[in-house]
Amino acid sequence: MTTVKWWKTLRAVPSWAYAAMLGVFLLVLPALQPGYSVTRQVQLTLILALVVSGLNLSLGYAGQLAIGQVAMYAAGAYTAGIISVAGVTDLLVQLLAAGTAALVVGIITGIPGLRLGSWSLAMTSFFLVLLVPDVVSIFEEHTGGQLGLTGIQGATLFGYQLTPTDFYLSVVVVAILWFAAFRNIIVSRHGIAFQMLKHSPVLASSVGMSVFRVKLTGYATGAIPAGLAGALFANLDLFVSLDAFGFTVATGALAASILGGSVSVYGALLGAAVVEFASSRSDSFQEYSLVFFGLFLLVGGVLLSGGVAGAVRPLVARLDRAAGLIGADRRSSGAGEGEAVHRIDGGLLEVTGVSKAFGGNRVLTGVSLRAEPGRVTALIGPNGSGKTTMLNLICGYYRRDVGEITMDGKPIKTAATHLIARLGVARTFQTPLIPRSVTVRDVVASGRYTVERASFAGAILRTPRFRAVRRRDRQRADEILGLVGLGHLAGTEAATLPLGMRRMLEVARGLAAEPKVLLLDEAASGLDEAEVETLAEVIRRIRDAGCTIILVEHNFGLVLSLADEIVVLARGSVLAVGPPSKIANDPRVRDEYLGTSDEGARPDEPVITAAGQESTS
Amino acid sequence: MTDPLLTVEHLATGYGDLRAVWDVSFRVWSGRITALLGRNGSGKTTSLRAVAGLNPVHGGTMTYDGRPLESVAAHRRVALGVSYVQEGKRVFRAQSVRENLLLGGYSLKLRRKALESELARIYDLFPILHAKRDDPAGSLSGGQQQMVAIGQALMAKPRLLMLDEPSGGLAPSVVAEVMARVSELKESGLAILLVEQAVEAAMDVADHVTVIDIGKVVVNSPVHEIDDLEKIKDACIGR
Amino acid sequence: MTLIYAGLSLGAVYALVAIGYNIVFVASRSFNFAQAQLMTIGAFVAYTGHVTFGLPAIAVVLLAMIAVMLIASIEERIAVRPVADHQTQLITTLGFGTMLTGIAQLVWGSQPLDVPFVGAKGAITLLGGRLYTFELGLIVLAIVLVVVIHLYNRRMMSGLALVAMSQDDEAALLRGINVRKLAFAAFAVTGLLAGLMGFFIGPKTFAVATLGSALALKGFVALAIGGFGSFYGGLAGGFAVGLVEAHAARYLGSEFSNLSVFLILILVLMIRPTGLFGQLQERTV
Repeated sequence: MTTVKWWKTLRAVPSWAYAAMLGVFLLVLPALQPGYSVTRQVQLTLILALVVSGLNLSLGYAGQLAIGQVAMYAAGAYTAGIISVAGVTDLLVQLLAAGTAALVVGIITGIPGLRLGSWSLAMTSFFLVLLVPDVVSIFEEHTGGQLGLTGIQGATLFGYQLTPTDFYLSVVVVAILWFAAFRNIIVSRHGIAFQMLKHSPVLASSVGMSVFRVKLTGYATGAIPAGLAGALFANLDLFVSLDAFGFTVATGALAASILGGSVSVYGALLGAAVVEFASSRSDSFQEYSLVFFGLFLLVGGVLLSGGVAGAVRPLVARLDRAAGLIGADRRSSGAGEGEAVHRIDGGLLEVTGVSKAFGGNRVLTGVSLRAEPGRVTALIGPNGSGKTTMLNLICGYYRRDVGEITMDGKPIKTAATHLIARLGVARTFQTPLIPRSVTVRDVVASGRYTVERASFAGAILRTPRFRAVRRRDRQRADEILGLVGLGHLAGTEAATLPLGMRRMLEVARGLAAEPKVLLLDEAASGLDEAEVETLAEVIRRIRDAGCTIILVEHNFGLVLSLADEIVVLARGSVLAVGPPSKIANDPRVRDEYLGTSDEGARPDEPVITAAGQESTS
Repeated sequence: MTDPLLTVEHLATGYGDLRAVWDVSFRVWSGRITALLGRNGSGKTTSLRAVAGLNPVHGGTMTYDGRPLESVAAHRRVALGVSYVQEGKRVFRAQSVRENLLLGGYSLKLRRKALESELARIYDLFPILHAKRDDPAGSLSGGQQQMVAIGQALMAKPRLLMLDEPSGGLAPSVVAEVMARVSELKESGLAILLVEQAVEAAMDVADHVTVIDIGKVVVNSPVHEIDDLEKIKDACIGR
Repeated sequence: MTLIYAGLSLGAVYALVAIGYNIVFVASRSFNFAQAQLMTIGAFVAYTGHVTFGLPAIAVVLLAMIAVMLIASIEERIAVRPVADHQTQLITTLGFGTMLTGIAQLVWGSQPLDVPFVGAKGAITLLGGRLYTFELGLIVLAIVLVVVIHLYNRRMMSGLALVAMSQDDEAALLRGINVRKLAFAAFAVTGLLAGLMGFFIGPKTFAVATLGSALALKGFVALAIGGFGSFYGGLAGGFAVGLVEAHAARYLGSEFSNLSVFLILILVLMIRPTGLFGQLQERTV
């Protein structure tokens, strides 16, 4: 089929190449002498696209409801305008100053909202838009107040006065550079980090990310293009007025983001083009613009799939499948060869006398346990016996009331979760936490977030170090995928895998972190027999490599076959400890499981919710 | 033997793509207790949720009082007489005991005044709730919260009462009391479906037992025909 | 005292927005960004009824209430129900609100319209301060509404059911409560109330399409101060915002009023994220 062939050729070209072609076209556009109105339209579109791409970064990728991007845009524009009036006309300085101003506004106003997230952030950031006119009139002598800021001089570059064409080219170049940087961020581990955060802060912290820092990075980085856009805008008309920064523009930018697809890089260009083109059409559209913006937001939000870019993606996937670019085999291939597991220096995890109560309900009372390197320590007990609470205490999701937890003799403080993860504690979740639209390989590689660090700037500039880290990320991910039998699915979107594979993927991600201690929270629940067998094999390999494994599991048969040591919890206390042979024949354990025990009983035990399940906010 | 009030056959259900129950069948008769047993994760709660209408049915049939239940919305099943007491004592913690019980009678579509007079039935069964009627339900002890939860369900004048681990996290003396109440309820003609991990406590009161494991039935028998309790226990622990 | 009255009556407007937010929040955990726009539409309809058609006050109120209830019902169906997660609902309800603003501009123009109040816009003297009758009306309306809602939630079965839903909607479903229907009804009722509120706020704020955004934000601040789901808290929060705004405008200059409110918002969020009357959410993990 020729269409298939065509499609293959088209897909062989990486997606950034199309954007690059567009960039080249815009750069040579002046040679075609398209006329003032066209170049002006292009410039306004690119400026809006910059603002929108900032929204895509913070809202779409990092999942932060920051919708006051226009305030950062205004900060950039006024900063550029004011220093231009003061005589600083060099475009590079202007961009730098405007970007910095936007960044500062973003950070200062973002901190309180980000701490709480969601609605609070939406409202504090939207409130900024309301404040723009007030701040402008407070500094009326510098900003021109309601009348607008006049007296901005034409932009220069290294002393040369820029002609309108030069300036046009500057706008195009700034846009190209930003979008290249944006794209580099998104495809890097930092882009994956944003999406993990968006999916679940619990997940993000479990691989060692500081949730607040990642949030702030996403939000603040999103402010930079808005600031750049502001500087360009100020120099385009040499006039800045409040009209450009009202709620209409704010909702317009949001509508453009939703329309083009918030979770996309180049969707911002498309959304901005539509919104800008439509707004410029005629006065009659302007009257209707709010209605249309509102409609975009409504429809885009309901469809949720992510605007035009989101609508195109399934189509692309379908064509890919038709063209045989994606393997149709979605079965697990069983555990692979063992060499993928390097020697792991397991940690000795000791829990001593730990108690925990929620409100008046005591969930754990004086629990001690010891998990040794190269051994599987299973934690079992009836519902509500405190197993998951114990895991959450080790990971730092809860604060323990009393007691001590140490790794290799060093105390683990009740510190932030991500710091404990960085000590070498990795885990899986009862409900697998797999972000959407991330490939299987990237999910595994995300476990290496703290194994090797790679800076944000490095990702943007694609430094040799960044490339080296990325190469090792992928190599390790592929090795581990081979081990758990998912190697053939490395390029598949992970969230679409069936439950059994997602569980296995979580184990792979945990392993990628090269942990001293690996905590598996009901890793076998919901798996069929073959999958359980594969899982058991993988766990044995990890253990044999030297890792300390703590297994919380209901499947008694699996525990008996897998564990070296079993700790039985009952109503918040340790009932029995020992090897499987001993535990299996312990009548107390059996009675406890079957509820006939009447010793040491204690009322009021709450049911503990799973760590992963509450991550929706 | 009379016709069962609820007949579940070859039920397949789960959460999203997590299929927890593949093929489960059980029956509940008026005036009898059916115990549904099995280890953690075997699909007991999931089956109950499907009967209550909280989980989608992927396959199989559920017949209640001679008619199919699958197409009935969850809140309407309550009006038909299906009451489900979830595990974990899920009472409305911020509201008073009295308000909780009144809400239990929501499906009767009575005015509040008329509902108030229904409360006496519950207070007779659980006198402690009368003493605590104005306290927030969240401030009660675990056993008392369980009573509130059961009382809520009984307010709806159910014909089928499903109890999910009523003994969970309770002291043995409280478990005994709860089980005694459950037996009394049976005498009044209620059909009771009891999910328990406490095998002996459940077997003491049950008339019929169904044990499931990994979403499939492994034992299904009247209690008096069970000669060796150990077999049931083995089945429950997953061996 | 006059300044305090000005602050309280302004605050009553915000408290009314917060009441609308709260009803929806209690019933369905959603946040209705378009609440203030619904009120604005109410004010416009009141203007049309009063000035254009010359209807009597009671007819105007009914007209505004029914019209806005219908709009709110449509909103629930197209902007809230089809969207599962609350974060996205913020975007869709903002979209709906923006549409309302745009439509209001098309229908009623962008000039502020002076909505008359029952009787004359007379000023009265009370406890040594002066205020307009419609300002007194606003304050009374906000307080009365909160008291009525509180009693409703304690006394009526449907009120009890709403409070139950706000705690555990699955458990509410198992008690035979038609959770979806009740959530829809609550949304429609906020529309009904928004119509009533529009009738009252019109004389104070004028009917102007762009009013929505500022009201929406200040209403949120009232909510943040009072705590989500707390009706008395929203009332107190509204009055606090109004007083701060009035005093800042009087003593610092009008350009500082929004800034002061913003500062209060930031402070509350930093120091007491659950609001003064809100309850701490137990166990987030």
